Amino acid sequence: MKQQALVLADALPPLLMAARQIAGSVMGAHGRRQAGPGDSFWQYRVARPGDSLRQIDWRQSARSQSLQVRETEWAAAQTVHVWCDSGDGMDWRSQATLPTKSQRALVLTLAASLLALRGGERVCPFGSAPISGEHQVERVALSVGLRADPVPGPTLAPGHSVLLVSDFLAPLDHWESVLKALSRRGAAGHLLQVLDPAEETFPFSGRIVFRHQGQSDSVELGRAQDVAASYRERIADHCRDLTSLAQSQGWTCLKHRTDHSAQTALLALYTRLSERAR
Amino acid sequence: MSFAFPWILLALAALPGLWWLLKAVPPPPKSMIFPPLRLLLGLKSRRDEPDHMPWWILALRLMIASSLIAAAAGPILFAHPNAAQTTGPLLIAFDDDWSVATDWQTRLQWMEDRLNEAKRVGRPIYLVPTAPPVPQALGPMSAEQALTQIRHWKPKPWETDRQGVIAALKDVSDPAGIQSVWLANGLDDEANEAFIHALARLGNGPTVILGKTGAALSPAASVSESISVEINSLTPDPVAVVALGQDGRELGRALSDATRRASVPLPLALRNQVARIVIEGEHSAAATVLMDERNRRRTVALVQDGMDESRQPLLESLTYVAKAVQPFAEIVTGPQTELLAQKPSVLMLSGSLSQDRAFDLGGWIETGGMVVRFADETMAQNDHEPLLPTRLRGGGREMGGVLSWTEPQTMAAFSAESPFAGLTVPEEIQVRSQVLADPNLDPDAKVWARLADSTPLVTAKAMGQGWLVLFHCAATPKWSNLSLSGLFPDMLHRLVMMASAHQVQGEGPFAPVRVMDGFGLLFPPTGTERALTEQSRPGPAHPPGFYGDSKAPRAFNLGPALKPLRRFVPPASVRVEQMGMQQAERDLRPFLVGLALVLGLADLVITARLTHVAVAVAMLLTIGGALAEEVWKAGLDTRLAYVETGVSRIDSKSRLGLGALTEVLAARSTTSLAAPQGVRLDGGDLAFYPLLYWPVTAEAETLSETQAQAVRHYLKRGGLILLDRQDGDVADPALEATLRRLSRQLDLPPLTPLSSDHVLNRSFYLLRGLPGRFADGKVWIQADTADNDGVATVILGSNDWAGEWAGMGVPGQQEAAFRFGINLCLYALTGNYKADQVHLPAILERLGHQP
Repeated sequence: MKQQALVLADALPPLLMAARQIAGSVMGAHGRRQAGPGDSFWQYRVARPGDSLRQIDWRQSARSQSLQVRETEWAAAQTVHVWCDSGDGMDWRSQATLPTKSQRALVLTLAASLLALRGGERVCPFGSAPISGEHQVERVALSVGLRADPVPGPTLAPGHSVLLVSDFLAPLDHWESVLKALSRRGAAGHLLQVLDPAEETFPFSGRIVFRHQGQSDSVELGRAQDVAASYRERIADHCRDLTSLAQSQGWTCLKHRTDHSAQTALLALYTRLSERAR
Repeated sequence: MSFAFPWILLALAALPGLWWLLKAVPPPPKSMIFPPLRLLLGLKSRRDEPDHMPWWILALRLMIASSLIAAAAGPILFAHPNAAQTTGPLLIAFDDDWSVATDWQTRLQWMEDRLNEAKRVGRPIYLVPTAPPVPQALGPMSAEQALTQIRHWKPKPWETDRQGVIAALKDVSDPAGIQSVWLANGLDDEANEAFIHALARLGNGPTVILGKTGAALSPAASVSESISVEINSLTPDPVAVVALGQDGRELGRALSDATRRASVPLPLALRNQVARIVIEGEHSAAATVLMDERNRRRTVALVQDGMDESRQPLLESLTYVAKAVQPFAEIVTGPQTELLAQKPSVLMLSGSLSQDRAFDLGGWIETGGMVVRFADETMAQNDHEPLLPTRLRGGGREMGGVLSWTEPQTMAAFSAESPFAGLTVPEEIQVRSQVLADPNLDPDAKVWARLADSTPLVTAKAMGQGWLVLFHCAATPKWSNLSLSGLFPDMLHRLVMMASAHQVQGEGPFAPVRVMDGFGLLFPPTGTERALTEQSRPGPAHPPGFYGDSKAPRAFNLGPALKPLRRFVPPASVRVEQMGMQQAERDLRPFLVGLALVLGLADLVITARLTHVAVAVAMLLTIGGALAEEVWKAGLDTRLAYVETGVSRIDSKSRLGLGALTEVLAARSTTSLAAPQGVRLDGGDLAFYPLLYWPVTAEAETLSETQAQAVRHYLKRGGLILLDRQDGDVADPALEATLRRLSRQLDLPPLTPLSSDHVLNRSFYLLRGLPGRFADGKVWIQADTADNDGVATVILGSNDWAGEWAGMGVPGQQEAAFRFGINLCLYALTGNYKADQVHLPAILERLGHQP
């Protein structure tokens, strides 16, 4: 276990780098759009009784007749719970040129977390304490895959957002129970499905024995190309079912293929997250 | 094509079995990890992929199997039927006399081929060289031993000794019967028949192998304006004869005529410089005629008595003689007794002689000397003048003077018996005074020149082995204008030529000075030679070469000792083969194994989708390495290299020169290099050679970019090139243009004259000059060597070092040239390591200053 963690941790800096790079490409962190405690300037207003002397902006006041108070935008922190699947099926790619699904999933999770942290929000990996501050993103990276399943913990409060990243290839029953458990706690959020292109297009042909780690049974196909059409149907059904399941619970579902650009996925995710936050 | 182990081919019968087996076992399915496996469960393909192998993979594998089987059977292309089957002992009789030197490489190669065949089947070998000395033991030996033996063989510069070999063959016998092969020189010999019988007695054979035969050259009586040689060869085809100078320079050439005689026309001045005459394209002892003092340098002694200093130079009695003789002879002057001790060719004197001096001179003439006397007043007055060809009438004769009514006389044309025959007499010659011969001529006296009224002008008399010659007029213009005419030097030259032919230099026996090897190259004597006497014939004890006094040695040539060559026609009963018709055997094994390897690689790539690039690269490298055998060979040993110019004369010179240098290097230092390699600049890698000797000729073709690239790479990686103009710095615009072009193409660095304290002058020997065939050529070396750790990469000179190393140049400079060669090689091999030696005095001094 420790070994695995170390291996994962070794891979972290480059992944973090990738996440930062991708996150940097998404413009603008979001604010509360109203005055409150925060760093960025919001507005000047005439001082009212009860304002402390410390709050008065003396330079601005000198320009006008009255005392002016400088107000900053309120940047209240919201909590985003993140979970990244680190199951067996995730560590796979169909071609050497592609990243594995778990790599891409981790990069996207971290990038989204980074954006959230930058926006002044708190990020809470499942099974871990909430984290705030952009520089703490490493801690997110270390603990985001701790839990095998996104089981709601004590930190999950109503109104919190949830981001689940996985290939969601497990049977839908499983996901239904997960989503219901989360929704029961008042949380709502997004599913990000990361798939390898081969899992969607099934480009195989010839005599092939298909196996899967951790599963003893295998499927031997005499001519793999024969089943491609029916497989594609099955996977499309699965994805559609997943989306409708999410929607029924008030969640959204995004699909991402590892041969597509990570930025596109992140931008879509970001848009969803900020809509949610408003 | 034949096989060493044909029974292995039976395994080919198992191929159908292999085919069936391969067909029966289908290739395993590909295995694939697929996470959405759950979604595949229950899906079935309509039909299975055919589970047999594609036919072409089958064919590929069968080809691999069959080529491996064929390789194991040891296939040999162009196998010689008898060689492969016989396992009994093999006797190779091999003529290694002078006549095979030109054909030597081919013959050696032929023997190596036969011995390699014998090695395969383990035949015992008898080696019988037929030129003396006959070796102690002829065999039997293993083929490996025989191979090492023949690699050290060289052709001998003398004839074969069939009788001696026949005697030695008497001791050879083998119960199994010996198959014999005779690699004959192709020359007729009365003992040939007996030799064939002696070989036939041993068992099977002999088979006579005939190859090319060399030609011999012997000096012929010369006419003054040319050097003549007679060619002794089997064919009347014309051959080119080249006269080479002391330094190996070509002085003249001629084609032989129908009488197998060649005359190389040479001006007088050049004639004396000829050191050797060779048949072009032949490198053998018999095709080389060495010229010695007898043919060449002639000393003319002019007798001058002690009180001559007060006389005026132009009136001096022998001034005109000295001027006339100067172009073709060396002149010594002095009192008579001193001159005789110097053994001159001709002694010339003017005027009267005392009885004592005449007696001395007479004795000298008897032993082969020549005395030329010029008359003067004292002689005309002296009635009892000693030592004259014929008696004189006292008083002399004057014509055209104030007191005389006769006209000055002109000269008559020379008679055919006279040595001056053929010279044209200018009409303006007038003789006003002479001493008159007695009309009753001495019967022994010969008249070589007459005046128009047929009174003798030059008389001569043979005395013992020498000649006494008298000019009946003075050597000054006082008596006649003969000494001012162009005829005078010609006449004197004829006389001097005649003299040298009779002259004896010292008495035998003569110790060897430099001896020739079979290829016609000169080497210091090895110690086995004996002193030369008049009766000596060329042989192991008397190899051709120079004998006698090292300053004026006498040449001993092989050519004159040979009988006229006749072609050997083997008797009809023996089998005769012509060498070179048989192609050498070729072992196909490496080729087949390589093929199997390549096919196997292809099979792996196709079927197993071999992605381990490293494995593939390793296999490819193995194959590539096997193919690039040449590179491989070059890399195994360190060796010197020379650039092949394509001119066979220069290339063979480079090869011989570097070969000699390699030998000397091995003898004197711990460097032991392999035989030098000729390098054709074809863009191949030169990195294996520490030193590249590059003879540059004006005709050298422009290098292509790939060629230039290869050389630039070589230089950049620390190679060393010695560019040799080989012309002793003669200003030659064509050559300089070539050099400029070369320098531009090769990006040669700036050069500077070699300083005397350069490492090159210090690396082994301490040298002052770097002479080759020429001594004075300037040597240039790379100026700025900082890029290459202080070691120059280019040296440019013009001294023709290879020629000197090969022994084609000035004998005295060979040692110095070798020293330069050794220094150069050590410089090339050790780089700046020896530079410390240059600073040694400074280092020692500094050490001495330490407390």
